[in-house]
Amino acid sequence: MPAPPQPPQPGAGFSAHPPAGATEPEAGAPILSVRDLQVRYRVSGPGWPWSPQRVLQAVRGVSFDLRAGETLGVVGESGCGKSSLARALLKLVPMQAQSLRWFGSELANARPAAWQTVRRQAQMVFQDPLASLDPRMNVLQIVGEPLRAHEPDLPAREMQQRIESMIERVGLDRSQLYRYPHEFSGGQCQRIGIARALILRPKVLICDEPVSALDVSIQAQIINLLGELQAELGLAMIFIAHDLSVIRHVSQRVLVMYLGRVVELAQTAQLFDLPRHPYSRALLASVPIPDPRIERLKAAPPLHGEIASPLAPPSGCVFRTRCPDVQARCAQESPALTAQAPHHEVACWFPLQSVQT
Amino acid sequence: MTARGHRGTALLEVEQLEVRFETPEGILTAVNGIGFSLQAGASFGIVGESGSGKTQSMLAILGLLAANGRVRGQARFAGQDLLALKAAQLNRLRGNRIAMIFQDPMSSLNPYLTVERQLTEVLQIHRGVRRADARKRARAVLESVQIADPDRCLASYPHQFSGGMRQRIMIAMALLCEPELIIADEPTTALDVTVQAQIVSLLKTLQKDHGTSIVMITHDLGLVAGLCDQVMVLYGGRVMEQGSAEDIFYRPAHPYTLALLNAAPRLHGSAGPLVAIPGAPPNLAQMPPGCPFAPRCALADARCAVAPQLLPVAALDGQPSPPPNGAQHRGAIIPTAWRACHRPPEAVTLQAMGRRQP
Repeated sequence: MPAPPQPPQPGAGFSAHPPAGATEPEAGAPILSVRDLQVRYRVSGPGWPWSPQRVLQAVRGVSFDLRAGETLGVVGESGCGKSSLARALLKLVPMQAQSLRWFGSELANARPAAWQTVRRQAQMVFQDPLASLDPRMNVLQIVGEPLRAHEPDLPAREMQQRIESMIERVGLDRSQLYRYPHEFSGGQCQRIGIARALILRPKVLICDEPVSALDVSIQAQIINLLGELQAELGLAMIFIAHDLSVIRHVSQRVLVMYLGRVVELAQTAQLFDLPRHPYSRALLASVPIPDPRIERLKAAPPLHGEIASPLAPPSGCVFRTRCPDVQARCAQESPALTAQAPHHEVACWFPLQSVQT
Repeated sequence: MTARGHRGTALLEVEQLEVRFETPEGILTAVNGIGFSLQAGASFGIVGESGSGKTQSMLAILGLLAANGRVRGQARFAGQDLLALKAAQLNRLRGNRIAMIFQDPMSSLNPYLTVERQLTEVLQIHRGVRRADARKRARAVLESVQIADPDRCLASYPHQFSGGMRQRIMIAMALLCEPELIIADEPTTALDVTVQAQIVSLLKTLQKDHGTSIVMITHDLGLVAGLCDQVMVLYGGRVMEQGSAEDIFYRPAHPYTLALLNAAPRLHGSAGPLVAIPGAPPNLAQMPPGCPFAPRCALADARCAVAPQLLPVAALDGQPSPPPNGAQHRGAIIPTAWRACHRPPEAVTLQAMGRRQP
């Protein structure tokens, strides 16, 4: 049910980022470092075309680091801002940040030209495999396009060789180079998308729900392929998914988002064994498990209601309207992301202390 | 969920159901001889990937196939063969005694009509009640599917709701006439996991409180595990394996069922690489001869060029045995699981042990 419009709350998004330097004490400078990232969209007002515009804040102060070779999983329900976050990291949508450092250089307020080098090093794989490929280009053109844009001086023969070896690496055949996207299945289209993303030999791959449109048997192929390529090429990955079991299989660390905020950031095993945010716990308990005995014991659904409208977010903690453990303080102040254990940050006033799944 | 399969007479009995489509590329067989029997108050899960025929089989039963679709076989609902009924007779059943919940709630609700008009219409047609009484009943049903503000809901249009709310309205619409059978075609695929848990819990409550029978079509093995007593695994329009949920999940006896269970990422246990199934699901226009899964099957051999029969798992290889639709094995020992595979079940079990990660 759409909530009545409320004016956006300025400043509400600025309280939840950790103090600078509060990241994990691990060796090696992060290749991506984000502090207080915000994404706001202007959307048409309610009612009439001439009604005043409203501001939809999709991402409200997200901070994290990404280290070389690691996979950071981003999980949350639709409307939590995970896709906006992915796009904002490459400035594909309007964004503001206190700091956004890619490979050590500050890009929060950089000019568009400065982004070119980053976009070469950080590539994206999209959700809808067919829609993200130009229907009028064949595989050779699709996979070759990043090369034409970023390495225009590459000799034609070398370019062809690189495309061919990449196509074979992702599990397609050289004979399919001159075919068009509509001639491929969903899984094959996703392989083409991955080949296009990797042809420039990037250091980072941002995958926005790369397997959610695929059948189970194909999904496993693509997940394994991404894992192999990551090991081979030393890629860092940001892997966005709404499916927690997929996230568990690909990530070393997981960032749980709700209504534009990070509610929990932890190492994968810790998050799945000991979720500390009530939302993470509910999310885990909601996943159906292919085991009749376990599944039949489940009684009530872990959460009631639906995610609040990002146009009218609740005061204080964003999750309080659905939280089973809500208390008075949750409506007044927004909890900051704080370390509850080593490598385990939670944004909750009353984090869970023991297993309660 | 107690005493599965012993709750009374069969409400729906499907036998040798076959669905074909005449296309410019030739005749496609989308469903190739499936059969099952659903007891009143029980629930049946149809699991398969895209193109397995899981949706077409149920559309065929309800007479909802596309114009180029042809159906053969039998589908007896409370004694009458649905496939032999005229459109007018079917219309008296559909939406009344049998209701269907579709995957995409937006495209199955009419965007031009308020929720009230769409709900009351069902009651006016099937029950002949007056509009005011229909509204009362609609309001009560919306409340029963946990819609917080039913009056406001009735006055709104479908686009004003989120996906989860629309699916609740679809379920409310299905429940208006208290149907004996609900066919749910991927009812939660478009929804978030927390909302999915709410909808599944709602379906379970309905089944418990009203004794409604449910056919659940899904690709998600987890959903079937919690909701269904009996499960059928389809691939390329054929039944690969069929049996109780316990049989399918704890004693998979078909290489495809096993592969499907292994390919799904899990919340618990090993987080290592997944055991992917090589290749892609078959194209209906170019079906391999014999077993449709053979080209992707790790256990396939020369025998698989001939399509295997669906046989009880307990039976010895090649022994003739009754098909899995209730009526014909009365008096005999009732088998609980069937599978269509030439390889002995032991081979599948051995493969399962070999593949299980330490």
